[in-house]
Amino acid sequence: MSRRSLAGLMAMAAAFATAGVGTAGAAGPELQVEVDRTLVRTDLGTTVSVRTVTRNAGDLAAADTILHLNILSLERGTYVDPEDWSSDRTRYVGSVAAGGSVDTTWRVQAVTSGRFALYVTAVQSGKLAAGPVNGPAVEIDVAGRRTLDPDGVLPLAVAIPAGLALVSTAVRRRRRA
Amino acid sequence: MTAIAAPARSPAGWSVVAGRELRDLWAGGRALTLSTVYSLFLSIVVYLLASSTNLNFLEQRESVTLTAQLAIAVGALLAMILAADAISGERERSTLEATLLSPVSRRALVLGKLVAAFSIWVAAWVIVIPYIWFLGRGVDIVWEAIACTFVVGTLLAAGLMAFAMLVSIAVDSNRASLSVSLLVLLALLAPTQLPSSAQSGWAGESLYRLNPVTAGEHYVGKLLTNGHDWTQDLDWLVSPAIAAVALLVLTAVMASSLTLTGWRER
Repeated sequence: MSRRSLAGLMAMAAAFATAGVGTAGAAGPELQVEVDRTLVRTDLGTTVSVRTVTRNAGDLAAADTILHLNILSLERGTYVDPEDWSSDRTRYVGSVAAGGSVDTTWRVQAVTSGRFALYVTAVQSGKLAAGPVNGPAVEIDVAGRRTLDPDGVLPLAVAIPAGLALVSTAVRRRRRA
Repeated sequence: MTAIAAPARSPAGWSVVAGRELRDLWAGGRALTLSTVYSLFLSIVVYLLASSTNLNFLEQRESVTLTAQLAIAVGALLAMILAADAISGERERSTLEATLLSPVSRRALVLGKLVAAFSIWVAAWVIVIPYIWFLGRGVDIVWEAIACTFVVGTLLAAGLMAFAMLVSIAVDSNRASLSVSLLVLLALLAPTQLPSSAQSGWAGESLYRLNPVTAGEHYVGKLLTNGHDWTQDLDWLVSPAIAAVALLVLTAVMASSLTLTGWRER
């Protein structure tokens, strides 16, 4: 590594350290997100509720607070569309007073089997630079069951029209005879 | 249709007409041909839905909803086609005069034809049952889907069929009767193609609620996809129910004015 790049890296590290100390030391709101449990075992199609408590441990009110629910799969290859799990994933809770808290209940429907992580992020719309605050992840373990056999559809899709066509032909022939 | 000889002390006139019409329709093969085409259509739709292996729970419920909604729309369309042909078709085939000479009232005649046209909706409902069973058995909504397809489909088929019968009584040409009926059905179905943003808000929701077809289809969606209770969105069935009752009553009233020619000729 050249001397110039080493100096650049050291300057970047110093900048990050300064920013971290500045955020931690500054007076102001300090949001924390807590969850009522960290593991949920459920069945496919079941709706489960997860409760979060968003506390403001700082000495100033946290204005314009927004909570957002996120879901991701812990297994590679399992597609997650969070909108299918819950259509109400963003809550505009407004101001959280210093030392105060907001209780929120999130209802999610387990639409895919597998292991998933659910977590809530708190953001203040007027203080985006402070960064989002993530709560602990809740593991959701959805027991799988095969709900649809794609191979089984073909006999059904062929048999019904074919059966009706046969009856129709037989009726027409009988009428002509 | 040939002249109907109703026995003096016999089943009501409408049931004699209905019996004859049902025989013509089913033993003649027309209803069976329409049912075959309808089942072919359902087969293609269900095959496309089910052949996707990555359907999640919600998407599977949505596929049941889509199948139920299509079955209702197409089943009601079939009933509408038969009702639209009922009177104007006989006018064109010059068989209406003999039918009108039958010893049954005009109202009984129209009611009997409505019953026959309605039979194709019942057949359409029976045909969709195995498809719903296949798609819905894994997500536990088979019975709900079958029952709500019947309830909503019956309301919509009755209303659309009565409207088509009114048109058929009023116009001379069978082509005009079918065209007007299909145009109205397309107009009623058109709002389903609007973007979801246009369906929300006061105006959008009012349009959806007032339109019997969109209101009925919306109810099916809420019940099957969203897992709502039967009674939760019952207000969405008000417009299909009112439309069905009002149009059937209007058809019964207007049936007495049924003549050899349409209204324009008078």
